[in-house]
Amino acid sequence: MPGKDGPRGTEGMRPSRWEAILAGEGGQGLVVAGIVLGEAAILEGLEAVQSQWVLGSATRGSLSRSEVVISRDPIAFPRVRRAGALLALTRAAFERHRDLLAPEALVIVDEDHVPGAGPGAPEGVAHRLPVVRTAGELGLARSTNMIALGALVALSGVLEHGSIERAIMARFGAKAIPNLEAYRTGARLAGARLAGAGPAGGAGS
Amino acid sequence: MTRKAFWQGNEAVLEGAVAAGARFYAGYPITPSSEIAELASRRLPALGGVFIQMEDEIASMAALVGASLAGAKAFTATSGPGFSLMQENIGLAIMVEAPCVVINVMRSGPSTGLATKPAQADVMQARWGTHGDHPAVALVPASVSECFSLTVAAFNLAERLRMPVFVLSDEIIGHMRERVEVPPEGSLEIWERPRPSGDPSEYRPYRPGPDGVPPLAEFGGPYVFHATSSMHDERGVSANDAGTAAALIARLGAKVLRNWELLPPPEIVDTASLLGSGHDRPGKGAKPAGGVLLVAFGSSARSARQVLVDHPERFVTLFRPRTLWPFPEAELSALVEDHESVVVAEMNTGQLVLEAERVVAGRRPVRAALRSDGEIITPEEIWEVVCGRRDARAGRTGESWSGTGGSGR
Repeated sequence: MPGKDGPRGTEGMRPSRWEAILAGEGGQGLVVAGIVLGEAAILEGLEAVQSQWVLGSATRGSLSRSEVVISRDPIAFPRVRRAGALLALTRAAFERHRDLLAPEALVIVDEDHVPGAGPGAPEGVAHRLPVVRTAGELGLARSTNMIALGALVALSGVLEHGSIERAIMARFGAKAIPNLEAYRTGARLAGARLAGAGPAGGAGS
Repeated sequence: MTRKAFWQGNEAVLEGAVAAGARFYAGYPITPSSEIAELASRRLPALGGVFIQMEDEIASMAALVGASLAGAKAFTATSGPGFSLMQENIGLAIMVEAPCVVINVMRSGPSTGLATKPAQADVMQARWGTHGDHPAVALVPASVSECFSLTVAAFNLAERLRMPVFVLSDEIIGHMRERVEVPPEGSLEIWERPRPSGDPSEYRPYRPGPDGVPPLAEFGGPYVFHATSSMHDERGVSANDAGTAAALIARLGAKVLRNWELLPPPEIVDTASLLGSGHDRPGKGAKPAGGVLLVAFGSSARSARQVLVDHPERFVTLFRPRTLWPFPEAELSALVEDHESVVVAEMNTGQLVLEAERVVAGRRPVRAALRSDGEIITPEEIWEVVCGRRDARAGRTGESWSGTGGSGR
């Protein structure tokens, strides 16, 4: 089970800390996606820290990175050291962060924006999903971040979908419906790929 | 009922200020503090308060002094460049004893530095930034939760001591989000400035009460008084004689020191207390060999705490000041001889380490883990210094302390 050594797992004395990077372009909403993930962790009674990487002036179109640490125990160091999960929506976002990955990390990339082969291609276990394209096709471009989050949570099992949906409703209020729709779309997208792709899991199990 | 929030550090500062009764903000936005101004501009007018975006930080600080003397709990937020501009009127606030709070979300310098990456290099500026002999109180949150609680404490101290109080946050703490247990409204202990009573014609605005702090009237009320930046007597009237000057300088310093017990105490945690009884150590009295006393504040303290989590086998005690100024010297001094060396971790080229050395006074070697490139200091960097393999200051390598340094080699 993907999440068994993560914050919700209870096996042995394994450290509970789970670190994730959500990276893409400024404007794709990945900082907000990280906040929703952290808020959902708090709803589950876990500890969470969310931060964004300072790149000088982070503007629309430039590299953006949201970090989330989730743990059963109090979190000391607030930043990512070895990411257990990387979600990258652009090639630059993937290449910039591949060296921060823990062994057997969960890697999710946008299949249209991160090369599938050749230099810069993810090695091994990446899940390749049409996150950005799907958002555009469904008229949910402003909810690209929630599609990405749905895929991340479905593939990592780090938190319950119900917690995320409660966090989305609390954060977006009247605008929650399209965001919930996008989140569920992302989770289904990941689930379908997982079912169709066989053992290409790589979710750290 | 207590509620859980997932706040950003800057958001928690603003909520702490509001909870403490702050209703006047004057400031000039600067990253990484701008969220405080943004939120203040929405929250304070809704509460009947005032938000003013000033032309610069010099004027911002002047507005705080005026608002404070008119009776408001006043505050501003800034970062290094703005904190520099505020120094002149911070001195005015100290001299006229105007309670107010200045939040400095520290970033890299000097000048505009690495806009807007983190640093902790305003340690000495907070102590000595404005000229002349003066007291300073600076609180240093290491979590979002403390951004709330220490901001409340800063207002309480400002009111009780009649002086500006600083909150030194930094870009890392200010911009990260984590859980805050928000206390129910009305449950917090809120202190108010001492106010005069009795015949207004008898009011002496600078005659101290028993704790060294004079009662403060409000401009516009029946108690008419004069406030001046120059040396003054109990009536607030300029006086240049040596006796008056000596007494005022002494009282300004003493009002902080004699109220020492009001200052938030340091957190002292060792590996055993951090990880629980499953990690037994020799009890008190037994001094494990190679013990290291690790001193860190703010975001550096998060990295220092991770060292304890990562290395439960090693005897390390974390001494984390919540009050940076005045430095908790008695509390640190009491721990020094239980350890074989002292390590200070901070994100600057070596400021707090000077204070630690003063307190250690040669009883143990002092090493430093320092970083000043705009990146967060890592647990690994601090661990290298804890082990005695490195010392960030030139000429004081771990090798030169091999007699009493760590046992990491």
